[in-house]
Amino acid sequence: MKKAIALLLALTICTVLCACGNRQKTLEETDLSMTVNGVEVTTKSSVDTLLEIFDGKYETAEAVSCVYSGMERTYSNESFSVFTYPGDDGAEHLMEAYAQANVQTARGITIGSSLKDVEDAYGSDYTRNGNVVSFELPASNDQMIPAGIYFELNDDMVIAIGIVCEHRAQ
Amino acid sequence: MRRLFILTLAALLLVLAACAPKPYEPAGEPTGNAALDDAALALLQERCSAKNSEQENLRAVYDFIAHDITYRPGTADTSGDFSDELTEQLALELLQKRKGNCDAQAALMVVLLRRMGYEAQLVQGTFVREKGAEPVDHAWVYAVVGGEGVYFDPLFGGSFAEHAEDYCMAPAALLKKTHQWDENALQ
Repeated sequence: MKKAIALLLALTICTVLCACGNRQKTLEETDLSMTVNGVEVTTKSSVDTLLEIFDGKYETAEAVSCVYSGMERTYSNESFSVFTYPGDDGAEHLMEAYAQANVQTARGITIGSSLKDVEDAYGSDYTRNGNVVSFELPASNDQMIPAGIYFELNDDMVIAIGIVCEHRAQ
Repeated sequence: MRRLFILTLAALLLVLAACAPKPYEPAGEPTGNAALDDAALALLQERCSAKNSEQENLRAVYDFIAHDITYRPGTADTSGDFSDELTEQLALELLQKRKGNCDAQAALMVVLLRRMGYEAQLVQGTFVREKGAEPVDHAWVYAVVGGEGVYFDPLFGGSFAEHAEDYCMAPAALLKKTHQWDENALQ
């Protein structure tokens, strides 16, 4: 009887350890990618390339930024948004792309995927803030917001996906 | 013997239940927007405690917006006055997405302060980041705490101030060094 219990205990510990081991997945720059309406969106995408996704049908909101020197802009339609900020060079830089439909990430997550699907694809090394689960690369320095990919959830089901480019915090 | 054990266990459970911390119950009224009210209450109960002082709870709410919200350009047209409807829309969006600009951050601060039982309103004005810079449109919050008018500017505190906490319950005199607004327009 004692042997059986010891065996069962050993098996349980092994199973738990193996399960935990699978949760860590390395995030690479290439994982910060999603395809929206057939166009690949990455942290290296230009704003002009992303505007092609709208097929000319989008609204623009722009304002002098409270945080950066210059104009910040948001281009959006009902399911896709592109957020930009002014760089030190005065040029418009991509801050974030955000999709609520017709999107698939490089690791196969789409709208309607479950949190478990996200964990299976990206691991469990994420931060959760409310209903937003974020996977981030290390930032270049502590003045920067890190590049990353995030999933907005409703009842632990993905309702939106965003790609964030590394950018200055202010 | 068995009955004594069960009675002891029940008594122990009763003692534990009595000792368990009571959830924070905000004194203010909900907005009537069910999704916003549920999310706001959940956040207040997560960040505030019935054991804390009024100042500690206010600081906890301010810290959440100053440090746990990421700045992102806005999408709503906020060039006019802020109606309650627009304030609630921006606040809910910020709670759901955890990203937003000064308008959204101020809107959420107003909603949370009102739910906590304070008179609060959004202030629209301008601020300068550094001496000689052009003033930039900005939004922050005025509230009455303990009978005194004070200001909350989580975006400025979190992004530009040496000490973020200085812009939690800040007196008008401190804000006047960097901010401009029509004080007479505040009710």
